[in-house]
Amino acid sequence: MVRKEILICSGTGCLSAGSEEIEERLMDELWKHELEDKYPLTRAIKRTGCMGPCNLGPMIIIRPEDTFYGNLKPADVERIVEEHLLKGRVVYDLLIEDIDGRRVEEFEKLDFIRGQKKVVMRDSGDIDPSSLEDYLKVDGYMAARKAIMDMERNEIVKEIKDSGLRGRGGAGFPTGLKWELAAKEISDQKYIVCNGDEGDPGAFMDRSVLEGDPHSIIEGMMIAGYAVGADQGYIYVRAEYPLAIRNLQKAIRDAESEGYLGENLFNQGFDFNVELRVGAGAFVCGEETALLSSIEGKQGRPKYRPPYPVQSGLWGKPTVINNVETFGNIAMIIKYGSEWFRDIGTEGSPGTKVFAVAGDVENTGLIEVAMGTTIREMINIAGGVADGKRFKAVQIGGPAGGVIPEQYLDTPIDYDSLKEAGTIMGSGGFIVLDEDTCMVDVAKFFLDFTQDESCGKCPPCRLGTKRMLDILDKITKGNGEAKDLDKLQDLAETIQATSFCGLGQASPNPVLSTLKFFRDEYETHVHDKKCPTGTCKALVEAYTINEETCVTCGRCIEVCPVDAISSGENTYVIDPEKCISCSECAKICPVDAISEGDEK
Amino acid sequence: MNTVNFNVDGQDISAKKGMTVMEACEEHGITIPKLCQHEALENVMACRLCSVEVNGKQILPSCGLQVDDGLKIQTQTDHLKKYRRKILELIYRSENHYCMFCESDGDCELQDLMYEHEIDRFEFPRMYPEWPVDSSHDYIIKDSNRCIRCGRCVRACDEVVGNHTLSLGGRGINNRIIVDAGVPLGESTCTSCGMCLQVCPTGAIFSKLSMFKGVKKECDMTTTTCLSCSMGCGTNVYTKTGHIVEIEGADIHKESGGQLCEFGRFKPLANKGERIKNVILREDGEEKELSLSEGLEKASEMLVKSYRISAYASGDLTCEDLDAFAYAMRAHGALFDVVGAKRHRFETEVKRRINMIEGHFVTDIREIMKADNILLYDTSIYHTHPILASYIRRATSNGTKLITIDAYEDKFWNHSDKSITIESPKTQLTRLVNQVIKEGKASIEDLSRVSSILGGLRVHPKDVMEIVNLLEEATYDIIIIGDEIIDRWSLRHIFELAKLEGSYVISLNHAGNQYIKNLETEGVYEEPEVAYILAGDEEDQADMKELIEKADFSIVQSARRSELTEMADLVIPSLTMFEREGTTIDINGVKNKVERITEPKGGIRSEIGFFEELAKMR
Amino acid sequence: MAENKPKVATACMCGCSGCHMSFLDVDEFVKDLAELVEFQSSHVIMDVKEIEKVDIGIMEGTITNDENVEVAKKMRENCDILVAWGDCACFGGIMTMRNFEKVDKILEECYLEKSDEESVVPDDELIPTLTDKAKGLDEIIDVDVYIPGCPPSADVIRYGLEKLLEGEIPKLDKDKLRY
Repeated sequence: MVRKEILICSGTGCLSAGSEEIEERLMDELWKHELEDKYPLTRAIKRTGCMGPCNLGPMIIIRPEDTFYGNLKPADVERIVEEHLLKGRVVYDLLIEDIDGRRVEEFEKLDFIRGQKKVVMRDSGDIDPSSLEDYLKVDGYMAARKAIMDMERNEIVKEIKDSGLRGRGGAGFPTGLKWELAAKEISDQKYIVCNGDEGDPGAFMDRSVLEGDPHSIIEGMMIAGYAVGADQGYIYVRAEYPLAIRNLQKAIRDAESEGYLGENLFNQGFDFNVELRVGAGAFVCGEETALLSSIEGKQGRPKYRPPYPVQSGLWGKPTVINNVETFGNIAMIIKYGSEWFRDIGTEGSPGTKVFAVAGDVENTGLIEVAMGTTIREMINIAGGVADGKRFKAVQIGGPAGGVIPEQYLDTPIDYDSLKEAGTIMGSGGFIVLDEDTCMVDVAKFFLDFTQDESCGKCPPCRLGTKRMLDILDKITKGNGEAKDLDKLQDLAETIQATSFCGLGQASPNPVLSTLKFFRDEYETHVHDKKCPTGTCKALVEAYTINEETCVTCGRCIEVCPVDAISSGENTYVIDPEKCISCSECAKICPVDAISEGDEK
Repeated sequence: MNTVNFNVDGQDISAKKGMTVMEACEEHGITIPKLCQHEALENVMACRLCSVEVNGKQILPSCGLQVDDGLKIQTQTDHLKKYRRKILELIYRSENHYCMFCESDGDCELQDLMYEHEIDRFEFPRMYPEWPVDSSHDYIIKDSNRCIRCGRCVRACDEVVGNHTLSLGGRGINNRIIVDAGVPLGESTCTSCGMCLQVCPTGAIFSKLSMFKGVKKECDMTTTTCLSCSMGCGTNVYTKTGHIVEIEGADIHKESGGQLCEFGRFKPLANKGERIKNVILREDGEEKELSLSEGLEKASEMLVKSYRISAYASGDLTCEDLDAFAYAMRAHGALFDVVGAKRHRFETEVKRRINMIEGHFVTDIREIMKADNILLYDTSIYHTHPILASYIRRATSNGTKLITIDAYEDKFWNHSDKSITIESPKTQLTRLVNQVIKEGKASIEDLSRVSSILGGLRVHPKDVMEIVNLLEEATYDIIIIGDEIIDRWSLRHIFELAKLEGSYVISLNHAGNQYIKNLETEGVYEEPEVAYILAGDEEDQADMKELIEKADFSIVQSARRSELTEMADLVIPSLTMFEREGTTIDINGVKNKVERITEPKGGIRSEIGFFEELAKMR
Repeated sequence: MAENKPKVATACMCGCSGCHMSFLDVDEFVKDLAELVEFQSSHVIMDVKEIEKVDIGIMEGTITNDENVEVAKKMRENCDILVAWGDCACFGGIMTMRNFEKVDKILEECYLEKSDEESVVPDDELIPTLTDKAKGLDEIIDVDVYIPGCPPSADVIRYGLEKLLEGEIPKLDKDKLRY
């Protein structure tokens, strides 16, 4: 009999959705049915890293048949054990309905999964990240072995250069070139640093990789270390990622005790050690020089380049600093060769990219696609715009990126095309916005973030972003003036041109791109004092109830958060003084009797 | 090739490789606006005002950009001016700048730039952030409302003073200068050097003693040498209508970075003691005021009729003053001594006894910053020789090991790698270290052996061994001897250790003017008939008091009323540091000029003339 | 000829009249000026309350109450070129230091907390109401000429007036500009 395996997603998303309770129930049920011999806990129930479709959590996959159950409630576990495990019958109504309404049995056949190409996320959701044994089973550390035992240092650099891999942190600097520069430096000490200071709002690719497949990052760093001649690596992770930190600590400890880290690796006289550094979660520490300052124990503030870290980085020594996702690609490139890697993606941007898809789509979560996939395809993989609403724009690249409106939906996702479309690849934020989204509010959201995260070193960023935010605030409160839009543009130009680091230089981008594509929305806010989508509360008039349509069902009274609704003679009345225009009553009204303003 | 050629605003210029564009431009008279850059400090490219256009496309800070062949730099394009105006307005309007209320109105670099960029209207409203004003310090007010976060003060405190009291705290618009871990300045580790206020471009850090006394730009400025200790720091003294407004360090381009200490910058302005204008004679329990010539006569009368005369001078006088005083006193057959000279005499004696050659002595105290190891006896130099202390702190920041030995608390406690407190006499430990080193490695390994040598001393053998190890490891170690060590035995042991280890020695004494090393001095009578004390405006007067107490008749020549003048039988007016002129010799043996800054306000114009008269009246 | 002389009105809002005082320091230029312009109203030299149609309107002081707002608006309506004299008119000046606190709090502190027991917060309809914030002129009306300074020196004031009479809009360069 084939031994069954139950994979339970234990990424941070699923943990907060209650996967631990599902796991407990599962164990209870197995015990109840005396299945403990058949399903020894340590073997049969496997906690994996993120599987990807986060809004379907908690989720499990039963192997070998690969049956996928998502959105589980504790009560469902009993049926899965009784039906599926004991009788071998798929519990049909617990399967996930795909976009076309069909219930899909196998995980791999989910639309969400089928459209993806997994390279970096290859093991996440598949193996137990806390188990070195599991990693070794999927050929873990074989690439490092190959690199260190069979390849010359310059061969490795060449392989990475040939692969065309570009830095996944956002700027897309060719990784091979960076390694080559570092390898050429002559120094008694060099360092490899993994940038895991993921900070874009809503982005969690790096966290998922670190949580779900920590050894792959260590392996990538080790190969980099061997290639450039560094024997010490640092992984910088923010303190907000406790699970990633725990899994990494375990991974480093395991690798050390099993001889995959330490001295004389693979008996080739190469030493490599990795240490974990936990950052306090300042966004600016994602900037490489600020990150290095932080590792050195100094305040996380960017430093002037040149010298670049490859020349003078950590403690003044040549340092290769790459993003988590970049390191995640390394082992695969070494294993399958640069040719294989080049076949994925586009000419200028080979390989894949992981996106954290969020916002108004049916299925949110992590999606790894080949470069060159269009934005439209991405949205389709995510199940399209949620609730059948109209698509308005997609925000790519996080706080440093911009919005892409409908007319650019067929833009392929690669470094250069996105740049042409007015945004950046960034670290992989992908937020779909539907017709109900106010673009001024979106700009304000991102600016609020960068303003708050500015380190304060240079005035354009420290004070300029604050001023831009003040203007946006003024506009969304209905106090905008005609000259405010020019002021925004002017300030944005100054900030872009003169800020110290990338955080500052890119901070006006969300404002500039929304201004470019949705200027009319800004103008409506400023001139007509109206928010077309009703998002900016100060610009929304009080709601009123049409007494002819009202059926006095009373639902509106229940949902009103400020008790502004009371019963009149034949109808209900909203007190305009109390109403905060939250629109909850209008949404719940079954007969559409409630609307904004005084129209009947 | 060591020079590069490039183009600035259409003008071809050449500069030394390694220079920044800003430096090269300034050398050629092209000024670029700046707020965070300061010549004594490292460049951090924070304020962005010095941004220039490079090769027609990039905009880069000229204080960070290095010169290179073929660069095409534009410093004044319309774009740049617009950016600069915007940044200036952001800075000005985001903090609480009210020029008409500000101490630095007229001396403010921000204000100058605002004028230069002709900003006569503002686009952004004021933000009214509520920042605290810290006036807890004796001399310094730190007003965050006027702080532009350029970080100069922080860098000055780190890089120049090596004290790390100030740092940047908070993020974004909450970014601010914090003191230690957020304590008031008056309760902090601040050494009161005032370097922070010297580099502050605005009125965010200023001196209580100089505030609202005058705009520096409208003052007369004289460069002179501080007489307070033997470091010989250059000072720029600003005066207005004969009054001193502010004192600043002049040596910005030297190693000291233009820093001064409490004694050079603040104390001379804080001195509130009443000036002595007339000669005071205390006779039969009565106090009489005499004219200067009557005073001269009284003094000579006393000197002429006495045999045992002790003459004692402050060490903070000019060479010329010392010579004149010595000449007059010798003419009256007095024994002559100067503060600090006794220590020097002992030193010479010990050196001769143990054949210590001059090569063992450091000729330039800046060598401290090159040492691997510093062994410091008597940490009170932290307060008595603050500039030298700053060199030690800077050295430790760069990895130099510091071992301190003191009878009391280690004043370098947060900088020293090894500190030993040993009850007086300090000599014992040196002797011990000598012994251990002499007896070779064997005894170092043998803890019990070290213990037995230690005898009754309350020092752990391990500590001694660590010192020995540090001394053995270092290739360049310097032994610094503070001015409180004045016994011959201690000096002998320390010098012996230096010989044994091949260490270099810096020996400090209490005199500000190292001319004492050239003067012939001898010990004075301990119980003289007449004690003649030339105190100048020196404050530390313990041994002078002792001498007066034992004298039958005492003459004190002092600029201000003090405990000393209250004790004296005859008080004669003297000059302050800023009324003297002449020369002084610093610890490196360099002769520096002392300029007369203010006209004498006491009852005497020239001491030299007075002593010449006195010498004749025997 | 008198009819062709440009008409000038000056007004002082919340300020110390220091700018007007500094203006009087132009000494004998006042005589020339009297030949060149006709003063329609100016509180330091004449007692005319109403502002009529003028060519040049000059304003000193900060906007701190509703009367100031009214006067400022009236001046703007009645003049072709509006000049802001001094820091207060140009950017709010020291009066804006009250903006750190709310108006009520300040009145309370001044009239109740820090005064004798009988004192009350003035509340008479004849007294103009304080605006919630003290403001520079250009936060309320458009300003054409800025002559900052606290006060601007007589030379600078004279320079500004001379330029205006020559038909130019004066702009202070770095030597004349002082806050």
